[in-house]
Amino acid sequence: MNKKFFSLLTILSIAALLTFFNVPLASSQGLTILASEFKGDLPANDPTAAAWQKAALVEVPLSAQNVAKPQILNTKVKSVKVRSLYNESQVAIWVEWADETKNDEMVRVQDFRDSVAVQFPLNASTPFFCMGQQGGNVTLWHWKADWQADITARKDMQTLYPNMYADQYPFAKGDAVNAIAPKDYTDPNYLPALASNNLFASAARTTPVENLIAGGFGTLTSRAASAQTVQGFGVWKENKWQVIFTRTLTVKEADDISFANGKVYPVAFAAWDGANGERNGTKSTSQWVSLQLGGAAPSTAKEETKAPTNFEGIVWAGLPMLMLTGGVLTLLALIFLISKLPGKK
Amino acid sequence: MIALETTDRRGLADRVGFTPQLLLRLLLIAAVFDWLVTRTFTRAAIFMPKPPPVILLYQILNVLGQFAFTLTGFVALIMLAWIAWTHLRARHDPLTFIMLTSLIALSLFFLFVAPAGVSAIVYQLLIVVSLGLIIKNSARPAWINIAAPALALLFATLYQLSQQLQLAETSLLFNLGELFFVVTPIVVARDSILRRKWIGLIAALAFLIIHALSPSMTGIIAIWSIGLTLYLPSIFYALAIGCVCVLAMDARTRGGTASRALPILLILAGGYAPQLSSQLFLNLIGVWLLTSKVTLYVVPYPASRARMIACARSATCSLLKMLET
Repeated sequence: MNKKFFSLLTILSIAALLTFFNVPLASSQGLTILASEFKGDLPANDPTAAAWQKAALVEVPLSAQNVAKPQILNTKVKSVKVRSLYNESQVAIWVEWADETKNDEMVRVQDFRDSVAVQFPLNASTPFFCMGQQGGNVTLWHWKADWQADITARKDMQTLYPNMYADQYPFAKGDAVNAIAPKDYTDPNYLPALASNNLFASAARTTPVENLIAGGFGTLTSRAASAQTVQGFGVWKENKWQVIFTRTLTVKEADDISFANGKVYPVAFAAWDGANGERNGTKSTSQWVSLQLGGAAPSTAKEETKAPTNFEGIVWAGLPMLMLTGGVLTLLALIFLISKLPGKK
Repeated sequence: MIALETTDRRGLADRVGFTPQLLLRLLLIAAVFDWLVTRTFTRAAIFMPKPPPVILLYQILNVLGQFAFTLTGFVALIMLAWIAWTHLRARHDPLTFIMLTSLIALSLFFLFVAPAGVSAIVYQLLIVVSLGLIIKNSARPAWINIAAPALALLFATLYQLSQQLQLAETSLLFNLGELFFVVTPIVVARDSILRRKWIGLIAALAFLIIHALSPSMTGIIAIWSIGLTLYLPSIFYALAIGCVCVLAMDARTRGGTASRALPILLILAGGYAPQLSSQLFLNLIGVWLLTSKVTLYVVPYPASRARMIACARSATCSLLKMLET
């Protein structure tokens, strides 16, 4: 009875110590996207660059968002393929998914864009994978096909309806019928969305990616223009979108995510097929998967890659584990020796 | 006597006081706590108003939940190691020993290096082979009880393997696995369900009402709690929940039904398509328990039984004397 009690106490003590040291003795069964280290500039504008082949490919399954209304349960994007690279200053995430139609116009009310988003939790724990939850904010990088197209050539009503007629554009300079671009206005304050730096009204886009923050359904908020630091590039080719997100590893904003080598970050993906009427909450989402900067050499690497560098964890996890293992073995040895003492049955 | 099929009844495990029963009961308590409190109740907090006392309660539950989670992982490792040892010493089955120990070693390795590429594929293959060996060496012929949970685990593993191999259309495997996972408690509780029909019925109706009132909340909690996506008609899940309650009642008994109910509770605590190695180990241990003759209760040795009877008599005599005086 004493031995049993002692054994139970030992197990519970070890578990308490493991809990204290945050060593749960459970490894992930799920998907981990291993970001490979890359020397030099990241191929941020070339989804077909050979460098991407150095990073391990992970296919992340998606399913229709079926929690908040409105819902489209037969969403079209079933999975996204993901790779990631990083260098000393930046991290890049490459995403590819199948889409038979290219939807990069949002001019008419019946048009919806193709897009893809990457989401990271801002707390240590993983909140709800759809937009986070109260007390569990998430940051989102939302690449939009129409924003990408706007960088090349901004589309407006006159692009789609070249023969349209407008009576007048008040406060615009020159020919009232044709002068409808923001630059044609005498005073931008007459375009309040533009004057207040609303990203949607931006006359000249610098990035096709919107950086947002959310803490539950209905709380999605665009970050300030100064915090729109995520760059992106996307191309549609052979019925596939290939999109690259790029950002600096660290940011100065306290409520945004910074990345460190060797650490594992939960990440989730969402994708929209505009041709299927998918927008806002009607989308395909993934559960949380893991993104790790550094780690084992990818199996698909064609060139020599850097050896794993994420052994920093050994100091924090390995040493307590070794100490505990040693302690347990010593205890077991003591119990064994005590059981062998003369007079013991 | 401990109801083990191993010949190592008074071996190292007994000398240090670790009986498999003690470990299994500890594992069951920790795993069910982790499942119902950490992964279900505390996560349901997002749907509840949170005045300060409730927040404090959740903080306490979170700490306890973290402890239960760690305890589950630790005891599951010891238990799986003990199962591997049993296969080597008592069953002369070195292959299962090698597979299970490799699984343990690899899961510990993945604490430091994330599973990816070849190592992840090897890990998934090890699970499939270990599961196959456990079933092949089954000491019980009750295939009907073993088939559903084993197939659920197999399809969940094949789903993860197919993801690693980047195969197309993997959702079929996931959905098949979920089907077998839902069927598991229904099959295992088939003998008891009529006997405890009211408990099962109330639980099933409660699920149907909650699901009808708030499908989104039910869906979120189901995913977080047990990994089910609720893609099947809700009546299946209602029936399964009813059967789980029946099994939980059976688990309190010491009969043959308990020997089926307890492993199923362990499997349910692990969840479907487990995200963590500790949860996978719960599934493997549950399937192993279904295929072996190990029970979670200690049957006293004859000598111990005699001592217990003597003690009881002595206590009765003392009580009678007290009453006389």
